[in-house]
Amino acid sequence: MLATLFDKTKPGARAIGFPKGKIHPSQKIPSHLLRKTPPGLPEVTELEVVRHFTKLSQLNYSVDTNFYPLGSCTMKYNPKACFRLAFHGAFSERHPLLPAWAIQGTLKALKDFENALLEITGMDALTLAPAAGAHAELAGLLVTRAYFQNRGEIPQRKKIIIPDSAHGTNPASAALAGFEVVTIKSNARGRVNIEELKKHLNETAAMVMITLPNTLGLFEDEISEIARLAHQAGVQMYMDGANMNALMGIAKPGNLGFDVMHLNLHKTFSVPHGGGGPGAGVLLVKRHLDDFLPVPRIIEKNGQLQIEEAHPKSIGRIRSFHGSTANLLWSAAYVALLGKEGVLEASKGAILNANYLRVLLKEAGLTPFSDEPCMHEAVFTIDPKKLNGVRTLDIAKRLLDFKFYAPTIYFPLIVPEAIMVEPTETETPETLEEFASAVKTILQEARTTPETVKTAPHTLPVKRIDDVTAARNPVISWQPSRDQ
Amino acid sequence: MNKEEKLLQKIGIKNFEELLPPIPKELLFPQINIPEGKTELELTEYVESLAAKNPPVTSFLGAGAYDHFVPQTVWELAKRGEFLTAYTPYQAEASQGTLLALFEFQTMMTELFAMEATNASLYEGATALAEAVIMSRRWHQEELGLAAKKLLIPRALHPHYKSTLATYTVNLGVHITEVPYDRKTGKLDLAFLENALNDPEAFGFVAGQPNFFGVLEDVDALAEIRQKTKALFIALVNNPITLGILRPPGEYNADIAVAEGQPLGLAVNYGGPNLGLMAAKNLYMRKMPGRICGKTVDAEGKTSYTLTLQTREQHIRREKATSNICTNQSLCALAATIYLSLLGPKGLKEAAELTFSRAHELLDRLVALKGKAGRPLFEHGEFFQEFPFETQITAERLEVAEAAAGIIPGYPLSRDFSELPNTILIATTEKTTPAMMDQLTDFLQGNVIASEAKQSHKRGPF
Repeated sequence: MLATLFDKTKPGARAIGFPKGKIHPSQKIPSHLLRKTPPGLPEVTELEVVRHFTKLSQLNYSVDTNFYPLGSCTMKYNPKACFRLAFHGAFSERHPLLPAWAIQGTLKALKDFENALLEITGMDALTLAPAAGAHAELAGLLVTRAYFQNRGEIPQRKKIIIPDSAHGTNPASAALAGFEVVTIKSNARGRVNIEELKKHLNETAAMVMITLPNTLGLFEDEISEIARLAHQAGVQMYMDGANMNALMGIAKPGNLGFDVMHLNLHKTFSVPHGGGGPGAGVLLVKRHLDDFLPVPRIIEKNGQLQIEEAHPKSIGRIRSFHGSTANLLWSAAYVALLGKEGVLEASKGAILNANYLRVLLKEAGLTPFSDEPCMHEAVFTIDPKKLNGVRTLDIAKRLLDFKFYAPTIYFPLIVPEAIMVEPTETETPETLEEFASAVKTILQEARTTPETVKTAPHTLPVKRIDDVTAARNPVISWQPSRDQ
Repeated sequence: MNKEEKLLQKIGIKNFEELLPPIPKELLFPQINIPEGKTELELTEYVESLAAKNPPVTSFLGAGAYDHFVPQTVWELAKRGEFLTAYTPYQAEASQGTLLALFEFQTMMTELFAMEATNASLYEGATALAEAVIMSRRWHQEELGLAAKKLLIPRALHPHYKSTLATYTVNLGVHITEVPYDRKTGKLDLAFLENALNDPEAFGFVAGQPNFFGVLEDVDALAEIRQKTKALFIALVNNPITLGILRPPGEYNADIAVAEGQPLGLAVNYGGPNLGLMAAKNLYMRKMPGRICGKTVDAEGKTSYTLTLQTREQHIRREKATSNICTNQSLCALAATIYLSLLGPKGLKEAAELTFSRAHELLDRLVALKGKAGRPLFEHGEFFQEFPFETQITAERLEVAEAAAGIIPGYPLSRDFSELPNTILIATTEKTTPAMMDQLTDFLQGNVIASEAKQSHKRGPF
């Protein structure tokens, strides 16, 4: 394992210096406000920094280096051409408080992008402010709450109905927005149990949050009926759009009965994931919720694009400034590259690849949750009893030895030993075949030499990592006494 | 046989449509009215046509986003595909690069803030503050068994942070009270704060260092006030570069410190992506929001890194999680880590000192004009990189003049503080050159307005 830069520190070494200023802080600031002990940052040369981080990068699996079939995360290729907009100095070096006249190019790019997203989703209005999907969810819940408040239906409508297959962010965001969470069980086909749902659709419910396609990679085929029942009870319909990569050009959520939805630009719209962000979220709503969207918004006034800072019924701000603009511009470039045919081609390709891989993995020996066609991803399970006790976690770790990143595992929570695979449209059939063949080999190993699988990985910079010790006695920063 | 036919054959169907769910025909394959797809060449033409609509300006804007110097090396490294296109490090064994960098990031944060607990980043400054407030409230409820509802925030707090806080807490029963600032010094009214904290209903108070006006607060007095109350002290560090020269929150008894990390190697990017920073006293570790990277060992006892304390998080605790945050700002944290590695303690101190010097040089030049450009709102020099300046120009005339001269002299405080008409918040960084200062002093003396006002019709949108 590599040493940290703190281990390499040599007092006095440094990479970057600055000229001396004319006025020293001690001339103006009382000494009790000044720092006495400098922060213990590394003291190293520039070359040491470059080698260190270059070597660190080489310890990672990434889309650029490995097939990354991480379900629910849409790890598609992020076209390098998008850098041309996202990292262009005329956009990146613009202060967020510049007046509209100085920023028309950025606002035009964002407005074009907004229009494209409204077209793709069939919704009526949106905000680009959210920093990520969960942030957009929270905003969507607050918008819905404000809508009901305005109608005098708060505090009566206090429940958010969420299927048990949902992402954990759904209930967490609902709680943060001051709602109660009602979890409903999925039926045997992995869909919303409508009878169960009906029991909760009344004047105490505010919203039903549905992931579409759901986290099993399946379309809620009774979505129109669900929406009809919800609306009949005065309940709003929310779509978690994390899986929008299955729907572009195939169906518009706005036509399927949804009132509110969010998109994760770092999934469907190709913002590189960055090892855990920055992402970007978009919240989209139907007309009746438009007035409640957060500020600021881009509006057109006197033939010029402007920033609207206040709006009478708005829930207010959900962050400082406008949004994760560089990421928004990345996605704007991505949508410009795809164009009207490209969006459908992307989703079509994602569905085709997922079904191809679904068939290959079934042949390889995994048990699909469902034998129906899937949308953009598929969920499998295994029976450890038939595999000498080899578990999903072991298979995931062994896949790393075959130079594949692992699928999402143990999610959704309703499938035991879940393996959730999402190939995306940008992979070739050959890559999917190699992956399925690795899975087949691993299942064979599980039957003959299970220890090989249970102790994997064997070829990575580290062996299987002990998560339990890490949590029991958390060490979250470098300490000289412990580390030397 | 083309690719699609090959795949369909293997799947065992004839047409792609057979894979689709029962969506009514009239809703299937809807028209998407957006332009045709562009080639990369066409994309560059589109980008350049937009870039031409973002004219260069000389800007003295700060107010929460600061155009500091970013060494070339930062993004040369951070943009590497292996960092850029990896996911959150769920499979730790195949993500040691990201994890070790996050561990270094967390170490740097504990060093900068002089506090023990921290995380692997939050979205940005305003939401980091909101998370800290929610965390303080939970601490009161869950650990102290108190149902206090009152939060004290400075009137001199960033207006975007105020609005974000209100949005986040409005449904959680939090009552926010503003603590005024002293009109002579711009500092927090400590007597008001102390008095307000006598109310057992208070669960937390926020103070900025410096505050939104750029003014430095008396942190020793704040530390003393914290001693006398059960309310948690949330320190908002306005710019983490200040910590190269200013006392860190861990030394003035703050419970939780938050900051906007953008100045640490990120471009201003018209507002994002930014980097939310949070550090806290050790006792709050298990109440922290967001990802935390921990050191551990592998099966052979070798040092390795993994995401830890995950039972706080939404994917396990669902509605009982400490926060709903999932995807955070990992790559921005990486950039900050590279930035701080390049600068080290000396470079950070120099960046802070040079920024400080630029601001004070600029103020000296403005003051030397003996009122012709206006006057500083506060007479003391206890500020870091920005100061409020009362100009001779009204806000309306200012906008026209700015467009004419291609200069933005500062952020108009009258937008959010009606008691401060014609006052702008002027900010510098180490990139503020003497030539830019000349431009500003000229502009504020009205030279530009007199000579160029006529041209404004030709040039600007007005």
